[in-house]
Amino acid sequence: MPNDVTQNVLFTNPRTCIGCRACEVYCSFRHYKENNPARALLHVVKYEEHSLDIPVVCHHCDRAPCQEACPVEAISRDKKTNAVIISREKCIGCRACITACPFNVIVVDPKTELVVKCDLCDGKPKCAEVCPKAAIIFARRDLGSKLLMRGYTSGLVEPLVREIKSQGSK
Amino acid sequence: MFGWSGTILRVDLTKGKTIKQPLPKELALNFLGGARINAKILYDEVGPEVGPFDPENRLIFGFGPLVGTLAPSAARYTITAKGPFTEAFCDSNSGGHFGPEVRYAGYDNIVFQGASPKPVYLWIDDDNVELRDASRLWGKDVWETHKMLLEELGDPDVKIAAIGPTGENLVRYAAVMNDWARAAGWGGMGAVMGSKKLKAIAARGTKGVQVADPDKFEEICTKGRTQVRTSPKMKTIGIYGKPWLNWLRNEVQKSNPTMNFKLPRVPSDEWPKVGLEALKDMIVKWKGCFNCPLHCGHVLIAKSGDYAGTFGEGFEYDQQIDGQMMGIYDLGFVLKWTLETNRLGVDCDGPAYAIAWAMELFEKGLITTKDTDGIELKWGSKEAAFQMLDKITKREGIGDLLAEGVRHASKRFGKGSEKIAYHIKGGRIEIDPRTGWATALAHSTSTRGADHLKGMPLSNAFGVWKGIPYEFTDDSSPEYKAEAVVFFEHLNTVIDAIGLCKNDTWSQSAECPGIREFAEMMTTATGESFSPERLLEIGERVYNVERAFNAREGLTRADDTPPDKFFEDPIESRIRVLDRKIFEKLKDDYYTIRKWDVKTGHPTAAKLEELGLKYIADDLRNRKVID
Repeated sequence: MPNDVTQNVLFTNPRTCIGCRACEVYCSFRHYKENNPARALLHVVKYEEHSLDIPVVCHHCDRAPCQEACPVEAISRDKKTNAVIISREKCIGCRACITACPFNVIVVDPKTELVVKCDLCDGKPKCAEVCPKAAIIFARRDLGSKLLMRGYTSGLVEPLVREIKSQGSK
Repeated sequence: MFGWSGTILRVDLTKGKTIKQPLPKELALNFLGGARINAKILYDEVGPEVGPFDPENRLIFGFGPLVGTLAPSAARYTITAKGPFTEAFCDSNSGGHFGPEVRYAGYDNIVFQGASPKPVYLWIDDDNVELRDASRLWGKDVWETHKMLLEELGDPDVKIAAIGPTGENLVRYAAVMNDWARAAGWGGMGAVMGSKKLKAIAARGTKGVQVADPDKFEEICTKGRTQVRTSPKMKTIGIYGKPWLNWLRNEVQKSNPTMNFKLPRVPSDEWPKVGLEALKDMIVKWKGCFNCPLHCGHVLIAKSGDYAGTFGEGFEYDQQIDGQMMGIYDLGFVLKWTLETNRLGVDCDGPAYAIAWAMELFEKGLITTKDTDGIELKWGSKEAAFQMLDKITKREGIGDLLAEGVRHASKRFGKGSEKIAYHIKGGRIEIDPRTGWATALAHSTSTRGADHLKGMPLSNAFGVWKGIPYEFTDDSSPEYKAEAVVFFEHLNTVIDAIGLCKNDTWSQSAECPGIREFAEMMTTATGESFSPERLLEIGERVYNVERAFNAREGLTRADDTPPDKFFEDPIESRIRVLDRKIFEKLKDDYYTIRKWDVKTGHPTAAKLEELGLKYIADDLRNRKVID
């Protein structure tokens, strides 16, 4: 698989997300030059009662349900980044894409009231860049899951090494 | 306006009215914002005739100009009022997501005055501001209140600051809790809020914070982010959270509040039960406040012991001390204590210090089971601790006395109990003053009672700023300590004013963003020109306002003194015990550097005028506080 940005997508890991919402504020700043998470194109869903934060991002699906649901073909793929994007000119604001998206991660901008979505920041997504815990990563589609697996298993390394050193591998 | 939102929200709870006032630019430029505009409003509107629970006391929320922005850790807001246990100036600071949300709705400060005849909450939905009935929330704990409000408002992303039953019952150290597990714990601000019958503030904001020079602002904030991420803090606080400090105090500095200071620190045979290894075993996840690259919050689970299975957002250094103070060495207990005090909306330390004081009285036979409704108030009794917490919350039986905090309780109880009530200006002592000279001085001169977050040098920033070799951990000699404390008092004042967290800044690590970065952030955010010197001058101006407030309340140099015990009982720490002569000399130096009256400790008219505070100098002169 060629190592170009069109092969990169966002992966998330709710286990490591600390709920700081740096991704949200940087996203709004990248797109609108303002500090305003309400306008972010991704969302950290917080369940404070359970100390849990779940980042929800656009997966830029290979067969994008939003694209299929759009009645006016306003949703297409960006040639440079392969991101699923909305055409401002064509969009009629019916919001059918929001319902169609399995993650409901297409949003209505509170300021403009237009339907908006993640555009992968021209191939350099800010959210992944600023996440302090690699809870959002931007990686080649075939490598992302492996990187997440490495993240998930890193906590097992120390106890396993300790166990093997003391008891051998049996 | 760039940076600032440009609006102060005034809420008259007696009349049930809200008014929006434009933020005067001069006020913003001279006091910077947030916490520090609070201080000026408090000075101007609350005189010595007003008691903490009088309707005429103000409860002022301040949200600094960087709160809610890209600036690393820009999450902090400050609540200011005449404090229930200091009965003088007091403020309290909290992180989470509530502060940014209020900024996004478009407010720099919210000033509450008066008292509502019935329970209310304030609903802020961008420009729409409304006082709503909170009768059905009254009596509910913090978590129930959060749940009920989110349901009522129909948006689970609304951010909330609320009080629990302790605030309603005017427990003098009640907290204001936001975002479920974040506390403005210090100062009893929850009780002031309770006295005003204000149950909660709920906010939703979609307007955002605009900055003057977005590209440069992003550049300096992202640089700050990298500074934090590459600082040594990541290996201490970033891994262990604040409990790392408990290790530092106990094992390195050899001074750590334990059993109402009867013991100098946690005994070595008990230490493994509460040390970092025991903690590490409980960590299952991390939590961070808004836009914090460091994140000191932990989610913990007690895997064994009396509280096995207890799960939730965990404790920091303070709650560990709470256990130790009551002679309880069990991190499972500490976790349960954290969650319960959060739920009840009370500063975790308040009840623990009061109960520890009572445990010592119980040991001495000055109180018995007759006074405690049969509770065996013995050192180390976890059951007794929770029973007492319940009594304090309800102000029931002896709980009514303990709800007053050690200062007021010991005054009421008498019988020599004042000798073992350890506080400075009513504020309980969290770091043993025998740790060292700067520690002792900073705890004493703090404007809100014994406290390490006003002026205690917790990093080498003073040396970096002055260009001199300076090692903050070596607190064994008084050299440079007065200068360092003055510097930190100004630095921390600036940090509170702009709304960053002390953990992620010079306040606690010279490798993190400091006064130069703050100046750049403020300049690019507001479009006004701020230099490091100008920021520090504002810090000094505000510190003088706070001090003048206390002078007007009758506090003097004598109040800047730790309890006798710390001058009498030597421990194993590097300075062993405070020497009165050295300490008083250090205070002389401190007042002299500040150009304050060395005899009274009051700001002088000349100093106040130099800082553009002539009206305060006149006020103090008219009241014959100063010459």
